[in-house]
Amino acid sequence: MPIKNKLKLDRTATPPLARVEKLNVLLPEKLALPNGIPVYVFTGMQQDAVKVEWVFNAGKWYEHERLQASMTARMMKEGCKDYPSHEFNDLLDFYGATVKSSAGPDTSSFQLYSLNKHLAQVLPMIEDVIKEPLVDPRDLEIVVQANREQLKVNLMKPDYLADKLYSETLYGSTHPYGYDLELADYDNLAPEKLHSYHKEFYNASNCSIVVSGNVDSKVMKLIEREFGGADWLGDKPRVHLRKDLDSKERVSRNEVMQGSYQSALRIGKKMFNKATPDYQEFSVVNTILGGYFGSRLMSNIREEKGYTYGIYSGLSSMRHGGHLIVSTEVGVDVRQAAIDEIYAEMLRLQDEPVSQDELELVRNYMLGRLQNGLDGPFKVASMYKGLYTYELDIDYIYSLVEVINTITPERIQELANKYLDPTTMHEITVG
Amino acid sequence: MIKYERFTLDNGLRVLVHEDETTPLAAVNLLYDVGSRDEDAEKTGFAHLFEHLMFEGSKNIEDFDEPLQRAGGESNAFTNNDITNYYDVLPASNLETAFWLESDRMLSLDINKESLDLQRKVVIEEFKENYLTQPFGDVWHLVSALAYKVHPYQWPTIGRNLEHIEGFKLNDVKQFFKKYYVPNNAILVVGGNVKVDQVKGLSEKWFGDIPKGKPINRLLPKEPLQTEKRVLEVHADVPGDALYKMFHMGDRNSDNFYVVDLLSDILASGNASILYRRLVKELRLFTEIEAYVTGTSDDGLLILEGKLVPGANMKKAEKALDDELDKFAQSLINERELLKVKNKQESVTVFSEVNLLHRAMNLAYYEVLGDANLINTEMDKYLAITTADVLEHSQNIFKQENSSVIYYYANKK
Repeated sequence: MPIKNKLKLDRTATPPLARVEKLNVLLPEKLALPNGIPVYVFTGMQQDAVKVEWVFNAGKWYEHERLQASMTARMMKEGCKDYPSHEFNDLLDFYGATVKSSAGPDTSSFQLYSLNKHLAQVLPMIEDVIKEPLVDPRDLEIVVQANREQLKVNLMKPDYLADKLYSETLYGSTHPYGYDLELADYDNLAPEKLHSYHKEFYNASNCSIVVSGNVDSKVMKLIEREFGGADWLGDKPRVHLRKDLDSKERVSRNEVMQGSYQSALRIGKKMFNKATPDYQEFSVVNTILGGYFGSRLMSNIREEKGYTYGIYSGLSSMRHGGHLIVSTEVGVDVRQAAIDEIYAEMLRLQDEPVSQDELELVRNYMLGRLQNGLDGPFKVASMYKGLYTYELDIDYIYSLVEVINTITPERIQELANKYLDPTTMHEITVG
Repeated sequence: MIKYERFTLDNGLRVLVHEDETTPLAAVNLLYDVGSRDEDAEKTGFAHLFEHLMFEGSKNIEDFDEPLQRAGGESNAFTNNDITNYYDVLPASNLETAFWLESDRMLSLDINKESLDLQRKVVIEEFKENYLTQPFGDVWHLVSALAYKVHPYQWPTIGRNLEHIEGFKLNDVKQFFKKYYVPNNAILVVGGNVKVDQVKGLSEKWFGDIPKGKPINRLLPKEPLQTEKRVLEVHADVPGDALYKMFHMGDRNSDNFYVVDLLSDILASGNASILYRRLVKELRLFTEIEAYVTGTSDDGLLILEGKLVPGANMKKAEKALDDELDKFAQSLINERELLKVKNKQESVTVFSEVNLLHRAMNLAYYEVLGDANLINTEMDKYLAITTADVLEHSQNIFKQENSSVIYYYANKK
């Protein structure tokens, strides 16, 4: 036998695989500022850069009126008394710093990205803007005008409209998790409404801080100096009780948009949040159904039928609820065929146990993704924010690893039967 | 400072290795030096469709994604005017799986009529989703066709129209693969918890026996100097009017690129920028304004785009924009304004290097531009720019005869 044949590579054989057995999770250092603000620190990075995130219980859940949460957060990027909008943004640019500010369903967040070398100059401005933002009426008017124009564009998009109808269907159009904006909501907005919202919720007693990146004692001293004082103590927000729509009745809505090339589909139902016992196990079921590129929905509806560019299912978690959503945009002519296939995939999970082979693939995939999501201080910090705001801790990740490694095909089938009954799914189509 | 080592296999495949032992991951980035500029003018959108086909399985492996996901990894790709870039991120302990998969699809694809027809359908849905269903979705088609008359940048990567995508044949796939998907037209970057010797061994093992292709001689027509302002008026079902104005500028490797890139930040990056302050806040002509460069391998564009305040006059808005641009061509800008965008650039660079995959992608991209070490030296090019450079380059590009403008009007209800 000639020697070169001995060296011939067998390209059909899969190289041996190693499962991610253990995750090395960078643990938070948990501190408290003198005024009691909890601080979670994730350090260890080569780049001289830090990210500081201030988290307040000031999301939509706490609003008295629509737009208060998101617009208060938005206007915090428009400066304070000593540094009005232009000066504030100009100086941030000058120091190469970036800020992001947003309000979610439950919490609001102000994020600063800065090089270590400029932090001492940047942080005092951030202090001002967090403790006492300006909300200049003229700046507000300009921001509102831009937002209204953007909203007009969004209201012409089938996918945007479908998302809007879907959350209204689940929670009701007056609920903080359910409402989505109308143009008219901007008509009633005034600086006082944002000032009062800020005054009520943006205080030290309602704040936590996550610091990640190259965090040394110098960084921590600066944060303590600017944010550790008793000058901005306040009240913790009272827990509001919100009544959401009793959406047991199955809703099926079809909005026609003339001349549309595609239909946006949203299918799903109310579920639970990540602190609920079934959540981690169901996240495996969701991954199999539509949580990754090799999922059953993607394989069937994109890779076999070519109905869509993409289809996903996902779990949304809020403090006071959660839901399942299957979302896709398909050609108008195959809309019903796609809906039928989505339900067929749910039924298949109920009727047949997942093969060991598919389950093994999903286990490896989920563990690999988890490892990727925990790579480096920035990523661990944002994952941790999604834990402690639900009063969960790092052991949640370890228990997820355990669930991924041990869940059985029988349990998956049981969960599919419990939660994936097509007759309980709401169905929204636009286009 | 990003460290890397480079070696080349006998078949011409360039390999770069970037060791980083702080991560448990490996990033494998394989760049093919082919993009939509290499397409036949009657078969546009093909490079991108081809990217989809690369996931349809290869000679010895039925499906690309499944084994990678089984190894805990994930993969994706993108195509632009100049390049097609594939990347995999996976646990470093399973690095060899990525070599096995990437080398097999470089060696030989397994495409039949069914898989071509299927991905054709997927791409047609992608076209509808991003370019037909969205308000202003056709802008990129209009911009490209107005600014370029000769160079293949006149069509966007998705393709000129659906008819082209509908027309591709299996033979097109074979020819394209044979010509462009060869080791001497590719750059492999492996980064993360890997060792140079390990990557050398794996590269030889999996890519070493893939035959070299014919050298590729890219002969693209140069876009002739524009001598007259071009104007296009569009009426469409959008909620408000918009203005797009394009100026021809230099390629990604030219001095002009670096100056105009900084200039675009001075103009419209953030709420403290000159155009935002003047046109949005003071004159209330636009609700938002943006400036960006296309950064292409052949001569590119500086694009200014703004959404008009309801009721604002299009021509007046353009005049106000021109007035601001003229100032750059008339006198030196203030030193602090320039320092500000340099500081910002530095910060953007540092933050972009935090992510392993970005580092791997950037190394491959700089290598195809001509020198991977640009990843470490590019900042110096920005820092060396003076206010006199900004003046000189502004004078060169901010001329009406170098501009194309689209007046995008909302249909009256």
